[in-house]
Amino acid sequence: MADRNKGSMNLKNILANNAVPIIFIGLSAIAIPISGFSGTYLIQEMLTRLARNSFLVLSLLIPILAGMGLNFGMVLGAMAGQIGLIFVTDWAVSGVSGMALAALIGTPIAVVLGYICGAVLNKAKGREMVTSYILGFFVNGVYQLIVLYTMGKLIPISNPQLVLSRGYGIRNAINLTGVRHALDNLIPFRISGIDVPLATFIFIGMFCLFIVWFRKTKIGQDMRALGQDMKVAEEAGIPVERTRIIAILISTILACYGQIIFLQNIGTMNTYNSHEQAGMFAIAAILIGGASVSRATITNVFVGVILFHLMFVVSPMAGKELIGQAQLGEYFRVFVSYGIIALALVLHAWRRMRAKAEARRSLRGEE
Amino acid sequence: MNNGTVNKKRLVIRLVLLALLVALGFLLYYYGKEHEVLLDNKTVNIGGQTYEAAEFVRITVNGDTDKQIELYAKERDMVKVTGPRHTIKVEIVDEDSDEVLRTEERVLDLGKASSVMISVPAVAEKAPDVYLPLPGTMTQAPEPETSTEAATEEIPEAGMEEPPISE
Repeated sequence: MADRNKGSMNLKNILANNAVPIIFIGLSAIAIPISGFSGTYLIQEMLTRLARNSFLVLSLLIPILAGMGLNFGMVLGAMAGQIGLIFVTDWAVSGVSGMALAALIGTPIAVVLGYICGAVLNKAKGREMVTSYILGFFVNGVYQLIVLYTMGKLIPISNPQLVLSRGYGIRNAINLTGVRHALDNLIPFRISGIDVPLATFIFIGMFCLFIVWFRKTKIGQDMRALGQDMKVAEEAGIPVERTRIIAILISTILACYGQIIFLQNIGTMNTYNSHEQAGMFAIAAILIGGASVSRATITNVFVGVILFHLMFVVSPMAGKELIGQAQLGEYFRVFVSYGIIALALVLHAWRRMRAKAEARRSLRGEE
Repeated sequence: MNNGTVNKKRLVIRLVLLALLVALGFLLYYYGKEHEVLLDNKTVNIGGQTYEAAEFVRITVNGDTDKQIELYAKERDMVKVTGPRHTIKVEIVDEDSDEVLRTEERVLDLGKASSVMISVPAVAEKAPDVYLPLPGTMTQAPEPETSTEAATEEIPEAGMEEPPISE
């Protein structure tokens, strides 16, 4: 009897901990047959989107490890990457060299922005997510000021295709022909009619190995200790503020590289909007993968990207087949992105309250 | 004292790394820069020497036979290449029999230039200078003194067509 109770509790815990991925698997199971897409098409789409987004989503892992929650400030890194891409496009540097140069230009910008973000978040301990979210808006304003008013004027931009007709400021959309699919097509690999962006996956794989290795290092262990209890970590002699800054710094730099990989796959850069979407969609993806504000794994990243983008692909067609309007699917995916973040935050607050209540009961000696 | 030495050593390492990164940036720029190469098949005058336009020419850049360019006389095409050094192969072809009458290869060193214009007849004639001023800055070649027949007689195997060029 006790064993049966224990078993049902375990099942309940598994369901509670993986509620979001289970819901999405259920939704996909319903939507895929309605959409009418072939398996080959869906596999191709998933592989492309996995290569496109995984790096960005992986950049969220380190701040979660350090107990700083979901880094909404990753848009700062994305902006740094975009600045690198603007220069590379202006100088007509193409291919993998162009991508590497964009990363090289973006890195110092990401370091500065990451350091500022980390320092600000140290002043707002416990409210990191909302602070980084608002900081993203602030830096977005600075980015727009620089890109819209100084580029082509104070910062020389020679390519007339990049500059607005008034003579300064960068155009709303930039064609990244030079770096388009530069990494994806570096090692051509085709299996059963499906193109696999092998070089991008190798790069992502290397990054996963880096995260696994990083967790075992001294600073990785420090971050884990911080994530569990900041006060205990501080009393154990861990430099809390420095470690937190490093966590955000690494995340911002990786987001910069992630955005470059993302945009080389897309091939077009929306100068004033691309980075805004990056943060929101990456966070939604990792949450759909079963991560929480305080716990995330590499598996969560890949499961999340696949499930989130599976819904992205099938929902417009499923909406069209169901009620004759593809727009329903579009509404659905925006609703899903924001809704899942709200749900994750509510679940996080609920779990914290439940943990506190359990701790109180335990202190009182109740069952 | 010891701490100071460590700090100094660390500073030196950081400066060296920074210098290496800057050097890497320049290398990436130099080897990744895209160049627009305009291939011009018109009769031109370079350094007092007139080079007659080829009737039909096939151009291969960096040995990429999939992207061969075919030009008739008075035509111009553009190819984008990445990196500073490239090989251009010019084949003067008899259009009817598709027989290659003459082949000439040349290595182009483009350096940092964004766009260059190359005279295909000059490459075919092994001219010392094959670069032309870019369109917009170009001056018109002088009218040749020779007649059509005379020009054809001079280099019959090349299948040159009549001058002059008009820009």
